[in-house]
Amino acid sequence: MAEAPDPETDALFEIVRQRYAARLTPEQLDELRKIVRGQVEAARALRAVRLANADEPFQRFAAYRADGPPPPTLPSPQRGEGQS
Amino acid sequence: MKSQVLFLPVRELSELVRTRQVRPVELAELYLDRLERVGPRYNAVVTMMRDHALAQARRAEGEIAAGRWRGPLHGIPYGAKDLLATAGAPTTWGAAPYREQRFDFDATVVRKLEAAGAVLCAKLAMIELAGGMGYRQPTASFTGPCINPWNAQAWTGGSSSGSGAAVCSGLVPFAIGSETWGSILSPAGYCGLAGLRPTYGRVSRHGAMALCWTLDKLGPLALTADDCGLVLDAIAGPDPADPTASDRAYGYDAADRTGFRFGMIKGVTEGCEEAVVENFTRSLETLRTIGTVDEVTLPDLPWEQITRIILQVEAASAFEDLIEAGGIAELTAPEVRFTPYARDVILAKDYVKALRLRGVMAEEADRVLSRYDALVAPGRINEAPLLGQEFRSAIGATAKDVMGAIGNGAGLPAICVPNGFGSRGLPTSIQFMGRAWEENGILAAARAYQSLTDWHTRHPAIGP
Repeated sequence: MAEAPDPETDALFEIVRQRYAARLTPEQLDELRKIVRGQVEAARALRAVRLANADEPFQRFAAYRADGPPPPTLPSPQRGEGQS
Repeated sequence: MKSQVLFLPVRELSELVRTRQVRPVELAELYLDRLERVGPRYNAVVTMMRDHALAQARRAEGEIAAGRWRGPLHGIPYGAKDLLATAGAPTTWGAAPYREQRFDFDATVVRKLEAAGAVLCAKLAMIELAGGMGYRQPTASFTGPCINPWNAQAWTGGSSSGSGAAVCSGLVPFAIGSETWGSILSPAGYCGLAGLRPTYGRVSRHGAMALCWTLDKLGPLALTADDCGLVLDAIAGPDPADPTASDRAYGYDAADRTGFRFGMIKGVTEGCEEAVVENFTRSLETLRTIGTVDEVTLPDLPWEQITRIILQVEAASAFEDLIEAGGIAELTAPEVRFTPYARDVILAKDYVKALRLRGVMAEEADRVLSRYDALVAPGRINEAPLLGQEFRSAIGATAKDVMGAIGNGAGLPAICVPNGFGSRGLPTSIQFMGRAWEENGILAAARAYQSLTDWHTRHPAIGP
């Protein structure tokens, strides 16, 4: 059965196609379109949930200065700076 | 000595070492030999650390002989997932583009284990980039798929695949793995091991590959829940190099207890294989001898979508350079050579919505968990998938995993232990998920379960 048209998926997939089509086969592009469609559907599930104005992202942030108290995250925590 | 110590839990091995019935150097040599000789059968090892291990073992032996026993990990061999930085050896992240990568420092977990006297014998295989690019089948590592010691046609699970294979086949008594979503519980469950995912922030991630900054956790895979507690005791704690590592004190409490209160999310076995449901039902009967089991309901929220979007966006950002430059074309799994491109078009507003809903998720999970010692569920929905086949996963939106979505999205601890075998002779498992910072509660529950069952005492026939 053919997939129902979905303009949001079409628009977002077009960005992917514009950026990367030169590296991709037609089969890979078809696969990417399906993935974008899944992402859109996941996003719609999130958008369907109503939140209050004050419901903040559950993510810590604090202003930083080197001689201040320890921040919740370091600007550069040295986790992935290996030499290849 | 070999038959005496192989497949002994760390707790028992440690007593042999402490009482000098077994010497750390002979123990290290035994496991190094097995890693080198047996490890290739399972594609479990990336880099041997023989010289490093023998130096650590000699130091441990000298200290113990001098009466300076550091604790239960002193002189105990282990393996580390190859996403932990170790000075003097490559750290490949399981991925061909990084196969020559080197760091000039040790990850905090590696340093803490050294301080506890443990002996690092090998860097263990893993799914490339910890699976964050969206792999769908076991052949997603430049070292090949990890083969399940219970059945050579089956996979170990991932992404801590080598950690699972190595402990399961008696190549090391314990190993360190990492979990962003499922990467400790999956290999533990499929290999019949205990695998502990600590609370987010319990263990420093300094020196570990960053896949998703707000989801990555490090934890042990071992033969028993008790062993997981011993290892967590050594690796937990604050770290100035990783401010998300909490300064909440942790000490492993191995005291037995009973009178547990267990919750079970309504419908949690939907989509599970028949044998998984049967074994879980039998496990519930066992749990009812040490406590109560209530069915609980959760609000109807898009749990999996929340965690999936956070994971996909953070992983795409962490590897932005590799993806945009086309470096993913060098990865092993054909599907991850292009599928990450789709993540470019996950909208920022939707990602922030996921972060806002994560707060709701955390509150709802804590509201339920505050009434229970643990939520219980099958550790995996199935027996280990076959090599060469695509598997179902919640990350890929082809399977349900509400426990994993909430547990990882809200950063909650969970432990998985074996609870039987399926129709193909591979292990099945049960997981216990607890309130944030309540590792001791879920460890006590898993220990109590293991005291009443013998699944953890069964091991695959490995041969010499």
